[in-house]
Amino acid sequence: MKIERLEIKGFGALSRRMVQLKPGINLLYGANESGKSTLQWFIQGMLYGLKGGRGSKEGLPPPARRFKPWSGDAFSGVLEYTLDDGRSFRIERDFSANTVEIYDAGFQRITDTFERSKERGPLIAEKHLGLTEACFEKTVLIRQMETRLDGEGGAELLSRLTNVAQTGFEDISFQKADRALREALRNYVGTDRSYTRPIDRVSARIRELEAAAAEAAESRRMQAGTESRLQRAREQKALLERKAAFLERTEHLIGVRRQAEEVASKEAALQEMLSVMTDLEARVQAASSGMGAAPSYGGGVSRRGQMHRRQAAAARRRRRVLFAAAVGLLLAAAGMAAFALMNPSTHFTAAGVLALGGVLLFALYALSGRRSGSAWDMPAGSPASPDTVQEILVWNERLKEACGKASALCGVQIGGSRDAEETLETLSDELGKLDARMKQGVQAVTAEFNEVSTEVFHADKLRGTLLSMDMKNLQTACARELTKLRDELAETALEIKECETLLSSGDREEEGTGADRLQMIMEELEVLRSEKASLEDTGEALKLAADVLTEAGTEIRRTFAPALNEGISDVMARMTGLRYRDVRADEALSIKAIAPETGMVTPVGWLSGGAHDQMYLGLRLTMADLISAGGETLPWILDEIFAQYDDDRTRQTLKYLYERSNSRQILLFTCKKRELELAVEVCGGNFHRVEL
Amino acid sequence: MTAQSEVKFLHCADIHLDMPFSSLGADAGRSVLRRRELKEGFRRIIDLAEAEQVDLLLVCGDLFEYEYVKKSTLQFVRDQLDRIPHTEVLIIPGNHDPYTPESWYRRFSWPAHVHILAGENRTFYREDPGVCVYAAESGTIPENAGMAADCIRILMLHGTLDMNFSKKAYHPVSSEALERLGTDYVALGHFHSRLQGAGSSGRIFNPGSPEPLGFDEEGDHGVFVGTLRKDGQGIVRPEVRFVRVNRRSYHTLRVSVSGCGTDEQAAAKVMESLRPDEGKENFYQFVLRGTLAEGFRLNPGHVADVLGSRVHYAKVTDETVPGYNLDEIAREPGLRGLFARKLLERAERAAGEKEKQIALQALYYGLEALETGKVDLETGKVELKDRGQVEGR
Repeated sequence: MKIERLEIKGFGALSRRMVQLKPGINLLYGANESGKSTLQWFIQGMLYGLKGGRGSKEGLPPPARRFKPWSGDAFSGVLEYTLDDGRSFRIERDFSANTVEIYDAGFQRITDTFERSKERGPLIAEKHLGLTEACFEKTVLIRQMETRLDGEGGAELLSRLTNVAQTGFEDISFQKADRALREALRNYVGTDRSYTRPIDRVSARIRELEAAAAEAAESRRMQAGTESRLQRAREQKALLERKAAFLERTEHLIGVRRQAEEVASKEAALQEMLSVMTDLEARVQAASSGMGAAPSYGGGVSRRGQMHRRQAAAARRRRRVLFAAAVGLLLAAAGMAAFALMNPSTHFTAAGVLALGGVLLFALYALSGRRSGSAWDMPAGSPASPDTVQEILVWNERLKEACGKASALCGVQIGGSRDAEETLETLSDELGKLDARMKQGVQAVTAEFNEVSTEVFHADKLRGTLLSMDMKNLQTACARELTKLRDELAETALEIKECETLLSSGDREEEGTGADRLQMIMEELEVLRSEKASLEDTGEALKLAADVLTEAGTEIRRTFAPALNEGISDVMARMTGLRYRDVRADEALSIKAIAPETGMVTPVGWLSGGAHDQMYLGLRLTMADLISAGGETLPWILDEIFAQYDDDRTRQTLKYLYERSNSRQILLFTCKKRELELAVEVCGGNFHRVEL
Repeated sequence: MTAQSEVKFLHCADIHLDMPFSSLGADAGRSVLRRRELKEGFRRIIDLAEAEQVDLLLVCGDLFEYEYVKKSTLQFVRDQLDRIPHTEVLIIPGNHDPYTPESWYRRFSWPAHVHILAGENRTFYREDPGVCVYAAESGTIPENAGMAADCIRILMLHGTLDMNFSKKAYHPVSSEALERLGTDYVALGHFHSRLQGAGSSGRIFNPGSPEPLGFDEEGDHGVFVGTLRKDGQGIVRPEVRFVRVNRRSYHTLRVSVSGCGTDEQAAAKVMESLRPDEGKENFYQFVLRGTLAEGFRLNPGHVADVLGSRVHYAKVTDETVPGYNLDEIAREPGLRGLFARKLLERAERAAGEKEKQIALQALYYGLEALETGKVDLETGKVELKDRGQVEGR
């Protein structure tokens, strides 16, 4: 490729300039600030366009702003060039409008035949030069200062040479990149061997939160368990209270039963005494009135006495009714007891108590039956027949004695049969009331019992076990069961209190300091799990990058480095008059050369500063050769490359360039007359001079 | 001729009281507030039930999160339900508040007008106004369910409707199966998006969550208020309307931030995409896309911070790509070009999207390393939130 002509309408300091270029060496000469660098940017801009957007890292504005014409001319230009195959083209570019057109030799517009980029429009240079802009800048275009190495020349050069050998570009370091990726993996993610890196910290925190979540969930489960326990305890308490109430009523019934027994006993005794009294009184009365016939047995009993007998019979009927209730109660008690036998640990007390109640009622009936069969019937017997006053006195004495016994029995003053009958009436009333109380008690107990009893029963077993108990045992067993029940109630109350305390403390925790604790744990866990997944992806990407970079680096060294070694050795030999004939990168990618002074293989870093500079230029030119190998022969655009060279080295380098200019256009920019003179000396008239 | 009757109802579902909000990141304050807002949402539903004087309040599952619900929240629910003693409240459990032996539905003391339709008690019947409700777990109603034919018949179900029924689907059912049951109204729950008048007879309804719960629940959210009116011919006609009750809404906006070189520029571009009156009350997820300025890496957290002053909650997802011209780089000779080509090829033949993204990410990391000699991931660095020790809290 050859650049034929540049036509600048307006570009930075350059205005309305036409530059004609020729094959071979073009020496563009101009003083400082004459626009040499601007012209290089113009060439680059015409080929690739100018970048807008942000400024450079050095703080310069982007090229699209930096090269706006100072003069107010149109920010545009023309570049004409010919490719190696002889085809010529004309690029017209308007930098302001960011438009470009390209024409062929017959001025046919062919802009649309190029692939287009969204930002940069038709990719002309990429197609015709075969180079991206980055490659163009890094190879064929060597700007001012780029060949000037800083104070650490050796190290810098070594680094650049190594980079080229490793990556193909001097400013791209395989080693730095590889280190950066591995450091990033270690610092921002973590590895299998790390303990304190982000992924380790995230994983540790996740474990901690998972444990806390499990603990919180367990605490909730326990809280739920305590709730259920409390519910059960409350139900148990209610049941126990019902059982206690039943038992207390049973105990009360035992008391009533005892009272009734005492009253009945008194009534029976008094009834007998009344018979005696009535008989005695009748005898005394008969004797006193002179009537001789003694009343037959029983005939002397008053109507009131007969009424007591009828009342006693009625009481027996009432107690038969009670019997039916007692049987019901007994059967139900049997059921409870049977359940207790099957579940001794849970309902023994209830069954026992209920059964006792049943037995009590059964016993009450039995006792009543006995009383009706004995205590209320007057035994047969004949009073003596007095026929003298003495006898009357004896009868009166016996009557008095009977009254005394009756008074002692009943606790009231009984002076005769009338008093005794009245007392009997009182006792009968009392017995009636006790009967009524027993009836009520049995009904209440039965009702309670029916409510409590819901299980199947083994009545026979219950009867066999409990019927043999007498009243005293029954009362003792009842008291014992009640004591046991109260102990159980106290234990249940304690459990309720304990559950309530636990729940209240749990509720306080849930609503206070621990409010939303589990949710917050889960939220943080979710975030951390997502972060962990993201870190793992990042780690995978960094590791992949490092692996692929190593793989690519190995390939580059295998293919590119040998060609580079060969190329740079050739360039250096020709530029230095065979002083440096062999420059290579070893297995460790360290660049070394055979030092002319010693003939020994020497690291490049140990060579002189001048050798560094020359070697660097050689490297860049070799790179340009390699990059364009097999493609278009691109012009070299070299800006002040001899700045650090002495005359001899400049001469040698110019000679090399002159040799190469046979097959390649070279644009050599300089501000020094000495270089112009040396060009004349080396090339004679075979170069094209352009004054800027 | 049959007796005319009508029943007025409010149908809601998926309130998820006391749920954790992982979609709000690690912002504990925000999620605590959101949980409070869910309760407020429930209060508004009761307000509506009270104002509309509905006969039935149908709660179709996931009223609360069993794993997280607090007793005070249940008490709050009870207090609210106590406000509508003349409304029969019918609740069915969902997958987040299942009817387990430990369920609050069994353990908690619910008011008398609240009926938990689950386990053995799945049918609700009221002679006046002649309504039967059955809580199903599939597309069938057992013959002995007690669904009287001459009633207004409602089916309640917390389940998955017409989806690809994987094994994981909760109570899957098809609309055809529901239609076959011939009920007058099908009250669904489970899916958080609204479904109105589905099925061939248009009697299948799912109100969705009354307060949206995440970025996948955009739009208006609320409940259905309806009347089922049975005419003299025994034909029941549903009249149902949607009532919006949500306080906040979720939005996902995709914004191009191409060319941006700073987080502030990116945030400014995002703000341009919002209307002036938009944002204050709502949750936003901004998905940033496009090619950034060369050398700039976005810090999503920083952008979210800037946007946080403009909207109630901002979440920023970074889908931007660094400003590399990959085509150009891939054409380069040397290491960089080869590296790029290799990773682009990998991305090209990746088995899945994730593998592709990792290959591209590797490419960007590698290019950054080659270009600058470092990989700066400070923006993506994980910083554990200082939320204190878990123990003792």
